[in-house]
Amino acid sequence: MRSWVLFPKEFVYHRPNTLDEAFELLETLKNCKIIAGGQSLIPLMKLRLAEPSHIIDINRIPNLDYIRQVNNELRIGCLARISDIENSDLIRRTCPMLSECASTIADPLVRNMGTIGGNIAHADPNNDVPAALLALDGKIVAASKAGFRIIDADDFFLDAFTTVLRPNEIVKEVRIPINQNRACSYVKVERNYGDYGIVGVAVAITLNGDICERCIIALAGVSSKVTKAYEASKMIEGKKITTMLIKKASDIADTEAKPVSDIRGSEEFKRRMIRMAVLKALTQALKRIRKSA
Amino acid sequence: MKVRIKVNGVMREADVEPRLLLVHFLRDHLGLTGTHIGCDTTSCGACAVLLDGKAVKSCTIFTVMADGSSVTTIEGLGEPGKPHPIQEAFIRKNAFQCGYCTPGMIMAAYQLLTRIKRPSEEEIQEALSGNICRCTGYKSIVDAIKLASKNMYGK
Amino acid sequence: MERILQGIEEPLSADRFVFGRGKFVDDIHFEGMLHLKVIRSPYARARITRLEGGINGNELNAVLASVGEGEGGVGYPVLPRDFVNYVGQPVAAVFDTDRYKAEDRAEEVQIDYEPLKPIISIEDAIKSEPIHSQMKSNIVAEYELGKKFEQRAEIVLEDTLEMQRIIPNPLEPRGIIAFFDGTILNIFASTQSVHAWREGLSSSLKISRERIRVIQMDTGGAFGSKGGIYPEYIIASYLSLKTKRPVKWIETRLEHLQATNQGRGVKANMKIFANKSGRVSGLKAELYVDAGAYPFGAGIWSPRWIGYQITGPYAIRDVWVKGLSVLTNKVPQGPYRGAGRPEAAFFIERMMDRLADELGKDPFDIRLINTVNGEWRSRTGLVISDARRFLNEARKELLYDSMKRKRYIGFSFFVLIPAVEPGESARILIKDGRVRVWLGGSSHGQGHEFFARKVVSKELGIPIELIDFVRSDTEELGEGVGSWGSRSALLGGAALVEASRQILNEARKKLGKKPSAKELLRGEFDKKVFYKHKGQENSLGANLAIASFDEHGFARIEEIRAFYDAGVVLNEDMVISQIFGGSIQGLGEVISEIAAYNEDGQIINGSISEAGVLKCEGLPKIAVVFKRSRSSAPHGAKGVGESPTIGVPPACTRAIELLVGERLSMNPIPIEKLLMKKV
Repeated sequence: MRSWVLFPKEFVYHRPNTLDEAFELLETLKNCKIIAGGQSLIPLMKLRLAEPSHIIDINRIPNLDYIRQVNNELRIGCLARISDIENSDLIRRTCPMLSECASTIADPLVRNMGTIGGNIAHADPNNDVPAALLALDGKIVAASKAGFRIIDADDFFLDAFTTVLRPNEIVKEVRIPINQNRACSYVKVERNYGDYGIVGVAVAITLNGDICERCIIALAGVSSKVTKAYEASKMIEGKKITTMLIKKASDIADTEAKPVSDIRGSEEFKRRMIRMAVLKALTQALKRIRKSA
Repeated sequence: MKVRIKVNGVMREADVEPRLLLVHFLRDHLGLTGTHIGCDTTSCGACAVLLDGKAVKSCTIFTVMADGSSVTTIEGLGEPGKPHPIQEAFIRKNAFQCGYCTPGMIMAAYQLLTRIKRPSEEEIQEALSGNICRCTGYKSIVDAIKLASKNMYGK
Repeated sequence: MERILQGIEEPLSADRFVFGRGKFVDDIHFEGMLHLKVIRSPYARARITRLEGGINGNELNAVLASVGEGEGGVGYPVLPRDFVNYVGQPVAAVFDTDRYKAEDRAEEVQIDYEPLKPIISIEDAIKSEPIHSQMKSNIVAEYELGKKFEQRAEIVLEDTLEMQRIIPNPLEPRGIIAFFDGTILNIFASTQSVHAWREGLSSSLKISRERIRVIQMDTGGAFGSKGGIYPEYIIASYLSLKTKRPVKWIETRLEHLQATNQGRGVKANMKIFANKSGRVSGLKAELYVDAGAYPFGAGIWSPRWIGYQITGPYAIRDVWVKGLSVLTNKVPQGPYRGAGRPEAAFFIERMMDRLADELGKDPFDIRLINTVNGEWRSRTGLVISDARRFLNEARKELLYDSMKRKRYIGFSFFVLIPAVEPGESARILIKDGRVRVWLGGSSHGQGHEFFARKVVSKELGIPIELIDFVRSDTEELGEGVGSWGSRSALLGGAALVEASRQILNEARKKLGKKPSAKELLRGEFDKKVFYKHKGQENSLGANLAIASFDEHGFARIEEIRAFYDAGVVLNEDMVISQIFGGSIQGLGEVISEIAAYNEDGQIINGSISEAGVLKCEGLPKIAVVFKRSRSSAPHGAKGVGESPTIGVPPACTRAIELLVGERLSMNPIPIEKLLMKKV
């Protein structure tokens, strides 16, 4: 309970130059942590809430900060900085909601260091990128000495700060299908400017003509992990989207959420915030559909 | 661990503990005390420096991570008699009171004006959203950045 | 000592901060310096059952001076041996030449606790057994002011109002270097008053004032939190006395959130008696101050001070105030920008708005009808001058009538009572063709160097470039008070005028004529003066705030307008900047700033952001108009530093109240209530 600490505990520092070297370290070291941007890990280490014996700095491994399109897929290397995602022309063109989401994270200085890989692997339930990935049908490439596996974002997050990532694995890449029939929006409600949000909402609506074929609503910050609002989605799917329908759906958008009362507000208040933010995100997405039509 | 970091144009070599935060390296090892510590929690931006040209919070970076990089601190921006235009604008607009947040504000402004030459009021506010000032109410700081933009790039 | 002072003593260039050349305490390094790490209580209330290692209360048995005597005989221990009484209370300390290693050494200290049920709320404190067993109850101070009265009135309104505790959060946390050189205990301080520190250290450490020298380093804000002494300063000094080495302690922000004295924390039951036209004839107030764990400083005098000014600028005939201070298991209460003034203003202003609503009248008119021209002395002794005239001017200057058409506006009217007594000191030294200037109070963001040099330049006719402002130092200026309570420009300025005039007199005697600047600079003069001030030097102020909903449906303040009487404004840029900053602090107090405790007495703000300090997005436009006037001081300046934290909260609260359509009785306003109803 020494919550006034500022100085991290000693650790051994490793700086692999290749992924293979990093994999090897992960196989052999005990109580180790990978550091990328460090914007989540270092604050925890300063508080001594995280006390890794070994730090593996992957920043010098070349070619992990790419943002590129491969066929109909956006591929983002784990070391891409949040500010790169925010400002990437390719992402703005092909998947603008991800840029929108990135621009709500922390502040510009933190975004310059923070990485997409770190944001996901850290799995803070308040983080925004996981919600965006869920809405966008994102996939996570986890790599280890044994090879790699591709995990649906849906299956990746287990609980607060817990993922399916094995101790010997690194989040190497994030993949997002590009879909021009999809309208998306990211809305974040903050109590004070630049703090953690009260809620973050990612929505993605896929249309078939007039009819909403799919609607995904993902919520950040209101459960112990990123959560989908299935009931609200179901209400919209298979129907023609109208303002009325959106309103009705947002009214039940907090069904699956489990917010807890804390310094950012009471549970009931947060539920109101979810409903409000979902309404706003859906409305915005609908507006974008109409604009492009 | 041995590190080589170019600080304000001068190559510095040192043997540091891996856990040493960059802000302590700058302040305690190099004596560059213009970079401040205000919050411990990556909230306030008093410790902002440029790392390879990007504004970052030096309290949330291990020194070893900056090995081989170049760092610019407030001391590297300008000096009395030869102020950087942003520093000059801060003086002209009295954009400080206690002075503790000032270096971090200037570094955040520096990055903003590198990316956007003529920022709008909203863009300035967004650029400063990682920096806290407790004295000025931010108005004079925003005004100083507008003035700096004008002096650097014209209207 | 001369050697180590090199570089610290240079005159303060006004531009130093933009070049990173400020010299804050943590910027100073001495050979062989020890870093102090303080081990703190994780419990709000517990019995210490084991205490081993480090410097602890078994070795250092001292109390903070101002609580040693009286008040039920409870001292504020520097390091407790038996009980801890707030989360973050220092219990032991370790040290090392390396900051990081000092942190590691915390593990060398063994402390076991038996947790006890903490007392968190004022209500519990009144009901419960005393926190300190040597006391009879948790009530540590009780005052009655005014005169008891009974009244039959057409309208009687009662309400409970509250300003919750907030954390001062200057951007530079607290800090000290103590350096005992074998003779003198040298203290390098982040402080509002080198003199108060010397007094406090002397009495707690039981060493004479003459053996203590306190030098102020650049001080990165304070807002009341750096006026007096704290346990850490005694520990650092003790360690330096023991080791004869320099000892540095720098607070972390998380320590600040838990263990720096917090402001506000006051509740009031207000009852007003009025007639149907809105004239208030009587006011009864019960005040409850959450003093925290030890009877200490502001926690003791707050109820009397708030009670004294509870009528604000209004002419209310009958007044009776009962004020209590109660102990809770929280960090002691301390002054925070305004220190009692904002509380009094919030309470009376909220009642004026309530009365207006009750009668369906314009809140401005209700205020106007309760003011008089000429001098009004309240039942508690507060003197108000020409309130009605000021209010009518404010209506015009704040554009009240046209702003009112925008519907959601709040208006506030208040009195600022600067802490003028007993006065303040200053020193002017002319030597080697330059002038050096010291003030008794220590600047910490008010830009004393700007106004002080200007005042001296004007009085002596010496160009400002030849005048240096020097950091405060008990060796250079041995007597003084401090910088707080909106007093420095008024009293420090007056002291400088007095010192200047003494120099001119002395020179005139020598030369037989009025000296020129050149003649002054050729000579050598050294004047230390203490400008004595008696009586009140109050000034009036009014604020107007406009509220609207933001994109998410939260109430926001889009504009704040101020009409303040600051007397002769010595440096308009600095004064306006202070008003802007104070307004944003005031707004923070209304919408977000809070020291939030849970029922275990743990403070749950995890960062400076979570304490609600506002950042620069979405802030209101601010407009300031000065009423031009003069104080009784020779240079005419009045107080201003605290005006915005007094006037802004009630104006903003009212504007938001009208916007959200619900009576608001608390600051900060709970976030749920800031939200548009239909969202």
